[in-house]
Amino acid sequence: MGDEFSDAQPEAPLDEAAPPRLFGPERLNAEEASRLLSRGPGRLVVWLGEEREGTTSLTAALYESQRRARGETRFAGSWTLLALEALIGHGPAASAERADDDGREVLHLALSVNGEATHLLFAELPGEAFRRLADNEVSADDGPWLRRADRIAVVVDGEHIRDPTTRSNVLTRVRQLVERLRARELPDQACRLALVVVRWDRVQDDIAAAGYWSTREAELLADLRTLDAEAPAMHVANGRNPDDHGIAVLRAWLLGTSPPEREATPAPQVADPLVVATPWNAPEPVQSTNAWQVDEPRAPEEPQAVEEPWHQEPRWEQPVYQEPVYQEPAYTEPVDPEPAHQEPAYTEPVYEEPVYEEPVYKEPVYQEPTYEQPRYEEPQYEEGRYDESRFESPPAGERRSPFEGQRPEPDPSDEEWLYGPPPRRRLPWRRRR
Amino acid sequence: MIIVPLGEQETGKSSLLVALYGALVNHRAGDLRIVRTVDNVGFLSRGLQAFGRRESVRRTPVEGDERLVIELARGDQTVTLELPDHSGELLQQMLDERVWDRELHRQVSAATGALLFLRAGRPLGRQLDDRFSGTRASYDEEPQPALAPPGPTPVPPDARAVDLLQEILEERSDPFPVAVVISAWDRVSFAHGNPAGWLADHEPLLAQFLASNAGQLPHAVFGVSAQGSEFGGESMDSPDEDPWDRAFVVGEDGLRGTLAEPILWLLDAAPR
Repeated sequence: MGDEFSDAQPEAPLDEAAPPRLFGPERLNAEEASRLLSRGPGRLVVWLGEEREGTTSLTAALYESQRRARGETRFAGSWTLLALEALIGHGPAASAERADDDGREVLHLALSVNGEATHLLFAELPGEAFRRLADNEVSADDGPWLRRADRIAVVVDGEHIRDPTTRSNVLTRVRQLVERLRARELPDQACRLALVVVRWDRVQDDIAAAGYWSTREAELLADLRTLDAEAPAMHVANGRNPDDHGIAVLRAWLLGTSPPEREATPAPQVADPLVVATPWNAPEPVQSTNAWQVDEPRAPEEPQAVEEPWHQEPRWEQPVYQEPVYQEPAYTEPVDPEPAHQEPAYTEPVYEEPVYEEPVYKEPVYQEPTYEQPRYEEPQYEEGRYDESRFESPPAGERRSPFEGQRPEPDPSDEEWLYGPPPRRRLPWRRRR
Repeated sequence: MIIVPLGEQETGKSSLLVALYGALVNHRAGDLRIVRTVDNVGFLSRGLQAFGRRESVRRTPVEGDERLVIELARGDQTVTLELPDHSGELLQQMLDERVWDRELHRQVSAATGALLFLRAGRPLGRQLDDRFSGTRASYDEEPQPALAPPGPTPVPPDARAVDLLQEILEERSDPFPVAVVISAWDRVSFAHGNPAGWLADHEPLLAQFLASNAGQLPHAVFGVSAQGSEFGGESMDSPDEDPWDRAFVVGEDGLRGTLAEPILWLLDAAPR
């Protein structure tokens, strides 16, 4: 008794179970990202930037660039395909523009090089989260992705570098971030860092901004290299320009492949050897060495003894003075070799008899000039052509024109006679459909 | 064996089915011949009649469950082929609602391979920046601002095809052969040497995805003209030609073949 009165819905048979849902339009949460990484080689990339627009546009530009790519690197799939499409303006932009409160923050792009796919997972720490981290309101450990990251890119907006009122803040923010990471012994040893300037074209266009940034970038890079000795700097002209060379360089850095060669583009205005000669493409394991465990806090790692802490200023040591040792120069008798005299070799000139060629005489051919007798043509008289009457005396009291009989008298009112036939009326030109 | 046709509206699924049936019945399918027709093929006969009148095949209704089930012989080998005819709206609805269609899910799970349909010769929504560039009637005129405010561009066909194939890979652990059929090939054949080149140029995301996943998705690309030419024009290039003689398939080598070539390739690529 009771079952037939129960409000509970009977369980659906197995074959009538709800059909599986499709993925794609939403970002991934940590659990899904973890499941994905368990399938194969993957890397977690974290964009750190003050502007979400800049960080998100980097992911979008990487995807859009890959759409058109014809090189060895190929698109191999994405669990967030429709979210990526939405970022580049295709389809509804429901959940792609920003991470939601459900912890869905990760975008996925799988790229294959030489047939082996690498899963790139993109997380962001932009805007307010970036500010709070830089201002030390939160710890770097509180960020969900930083300790797990395989690539951390500090993203700087070129527009802020161009603006004299904001450019100094860019430096402060990057240095604050470096200090926060260092304080928490981040990043992981296997993690690579980079400084990425987006909207680099805004800096390039302004000589003053380019000059300002050239020295500052080298200083910031030196700061970053206290955390990762191989940290490069990259310039992406426009985050949404998929043909930009900077995007290709960024992709190569993410995949750990050799950076592509630049195609015949003008040299940058500010050349910085620190930026160009960056050995970041050294071979490295593709598989992330960082544990990707969800809801399992990491056990605190034993601090390792560091002989030379990164934060110590290099000590200045008094140089030891060494008395220079005087060595008597050894005297060597100069050798004056007698120049060897060589008798010039005499070669008997060979006389060649000139060959005389008898000139050939050609008898000129005389041509008798031909004389043509001029032909006389009798002028033909045409009847009625000459009006003899005009030579006759006009009747008394009547004056006649000497041209009468040849042409009609002009009528002053007849414009056609005076000016010829009227021009053909031209219809306005019309396009043929 | 089940070969499931996959494609959205007006990608030529029904047209190929009709033309293939016509080629099989009228001995234009190479060494592939019909042994026995299992189901009602009235809808295919009506399609062939339409081709004879130089009319396009009517679109498959969403509720339709038509299919071609035939027993084929190829040399000594005999195989029963089942080709269901899905409505394109069904697939589009499934991709939009993000839930598998139950019947399609069953067929994909049981299928030996798939015919993936794309259409050549029409704008494919790849003009990403045109939304903001306005329209220009001729080069003598200044560009006019776009009248309508820019809205979201539809997701391009290659991304939707990748979207579908990814879901199939989730359902299948074994290799799943895919014959990519580019329909209306007669419209673009003058500009492209072979269908694979067209795919790389016009649907790059799909081309890259197939190349990256060639192990799980063995594939070949075919250009198909089921009608032979575009209907509706006043001129009839070859009025005496029968529909099965007008129709043609271009393989990956760029050479013409019979309409049975995609099926033959799938038969060969199917895991034993």
